[in-house]
Amino acid sequence: MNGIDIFLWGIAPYISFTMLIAVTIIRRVHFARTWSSKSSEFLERKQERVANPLFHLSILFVFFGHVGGVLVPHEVTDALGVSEEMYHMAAFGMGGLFGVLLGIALILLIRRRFGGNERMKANTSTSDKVLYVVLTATIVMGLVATFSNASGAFNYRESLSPWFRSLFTFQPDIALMAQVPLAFKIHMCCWMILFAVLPFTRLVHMFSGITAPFKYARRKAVLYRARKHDVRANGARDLEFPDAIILDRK
Amino acid sequence: MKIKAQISMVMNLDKCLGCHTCSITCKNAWTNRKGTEYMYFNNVETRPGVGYPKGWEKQDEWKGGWTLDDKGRLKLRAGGKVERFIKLFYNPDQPGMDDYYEPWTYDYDELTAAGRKRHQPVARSRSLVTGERMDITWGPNWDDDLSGAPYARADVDLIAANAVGAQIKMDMEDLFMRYLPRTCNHCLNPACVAACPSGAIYKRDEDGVVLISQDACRGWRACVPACPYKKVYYNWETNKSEKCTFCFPRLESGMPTICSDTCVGRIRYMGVLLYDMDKVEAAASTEDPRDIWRAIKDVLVDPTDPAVIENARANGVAESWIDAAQHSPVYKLIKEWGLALPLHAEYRTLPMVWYIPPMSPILQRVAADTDLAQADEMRIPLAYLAELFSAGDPEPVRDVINRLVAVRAHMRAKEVGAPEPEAEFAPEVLDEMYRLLAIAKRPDRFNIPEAADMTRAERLKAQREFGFCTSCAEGGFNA
Repeated sequence: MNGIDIFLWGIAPYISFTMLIAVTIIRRVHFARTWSSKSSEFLERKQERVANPLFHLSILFVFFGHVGGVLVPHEVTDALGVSEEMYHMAAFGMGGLFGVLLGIALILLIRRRFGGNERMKANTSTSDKVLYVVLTATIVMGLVATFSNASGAFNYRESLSPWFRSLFTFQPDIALMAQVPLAFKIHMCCWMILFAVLPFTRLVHMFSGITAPFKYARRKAVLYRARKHDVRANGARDLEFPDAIILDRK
Repeated sequence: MKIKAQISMVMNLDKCLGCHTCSITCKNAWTNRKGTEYMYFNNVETRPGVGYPKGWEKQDEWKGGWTLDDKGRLKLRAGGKVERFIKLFYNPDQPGMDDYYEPWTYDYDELTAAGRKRHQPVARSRSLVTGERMDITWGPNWDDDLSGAPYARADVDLIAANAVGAQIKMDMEDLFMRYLPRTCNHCLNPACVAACPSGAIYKRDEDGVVLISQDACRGWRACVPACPYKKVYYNWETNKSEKCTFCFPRLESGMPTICSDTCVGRIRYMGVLLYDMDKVEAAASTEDPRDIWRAIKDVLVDPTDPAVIENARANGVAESWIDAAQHSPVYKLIKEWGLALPLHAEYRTLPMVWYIPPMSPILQRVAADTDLAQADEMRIPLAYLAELFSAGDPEPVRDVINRLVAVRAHMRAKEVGAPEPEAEFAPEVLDEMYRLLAIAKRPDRFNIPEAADMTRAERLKAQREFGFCTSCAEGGFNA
């Protein structure tokens, strides 16, 4: 266990998570006006029609696949009577399928944004470029790791997953990472970078995407807001509206 | 009963000269920034024509406004909440830039900076989005003044009127044309507000102005297709939606919107209406689309009714606002005299910008037999106006135009000393109508009370205006 291992598997994840949480909060509170999905459908509709829903759908499945593979200990699936082979078949099949779909969608999105469309070029910021590099690296390394381990010879649920879970008890089990293949290790580094840059990019819209449906489902159709609560008049920040100041129609 | 105040506008189309001054002053005030070049919070369309964006009235395509479900309940035409959430990733109903136009500028520098050449220097066009050279093939008001017959024939309302047997021809001798200025209607039942997943769009409690919080907007763009009037625009630079603000900083100071104030034809009237919030949903759910405009008139209540005044006070409507509602030019035009109609009430958003439909010259074929044309003898077919203002029912438009004709008949009789013609209104009322419609002095056109709940300093602060008075007590403002 050398210094690099300690940094990569014992320190870097915490830097990453800290950036993710702290910068997100700072941006949400102080730079809410920049918080947006940055939709470019207004500028380009034809290619978005397939690429964007495909990307979002497959990344949702990939996300839940990761939750299952990383956060659920294999003792749980063992207790449910799922054998190692069955688990690997299902994980590799589903993960491979949606991973490939995600890869295709990513290629389509890259073609759409960087494929010479002048309007998209005008709409592409530096943060978008950085994001595309980091996101592409993460997805590509995820695919490389998945398909290089098609045989299931490397059981990540006995090393990677416990290591990841050990991060949450603030006692990172760095030794677990020793036998992990290189592709998986690079994939780990990629997500750490992704999480760290995420709050600086348009990806913050994912948090709104999680909260908005719940708030919207409960809400009355037409919102009224009294100016006496309009925070611009009393000097406070104009963020979201506390429920108290929204008068329903009735 | 729950009485609220609403700032409302009426436009007298009879007097619109199509000069676009309203659009230009609005543009200079609100949408001269990057990303907003294509936005016209106020625009003027030549009718018949396709409008802006192209064919905005085709609700089968854009899914704007509200409709009734099988049980007669209101629902957004764009679908239920789940269906609309799926559309977040790609919204098939959202207009793209080409449905509006790609904004451009010209290389004006070239005119003064060009070196010695054989030919005159020219200022070539350049896209304001990409910065690249572009050929201009479409723009706002491309079909202004009926330039290019295909656009007039593509008018949705013209097609609809013909579909119900109006037989409107576009032959030279029957050709007609009018201007239709449009702003956000600051609806009582706004579809944009209902469609926003972030809750960023709201109706102001005090004056009914519909605004988008730029801090709360997340760029989901659901409001853009939801507005049946296509008056919410997506800013591709800031990635947030923007819309007409009814110039709320001016309203708060008791001034009319910039489009109204600078109107050369003096066609715009602004004032306060009191409405019953409890009746809004029922009015919007009126089964027959032709009855919706009448239902809206029922939602607007009599500001002199003691029960209304008491309820308004209880709901926090200030005395100055109740007084303004009692002396509102808009209330007179809509309720007392029945001269104004809403634009496309069948979208069920209960718009609060109403229109006095235009009179037009007498038809050639009846001109010999009459000296003052009635509504049916005018050049603009009633069936066409009815598609715009009364969901296809010609009756309300005929009534309004004949009332306008009655004002003319009255003034004519007065001028030539003829006996007073029989009319729906008393001569004094017709005189008053004449003064408000024809003379239209500024104090008569606008009666906007200042924001009752704010001091001058607070108003300026709310408008992001900052004072420089260091000796003043209140934060640099000479309150």
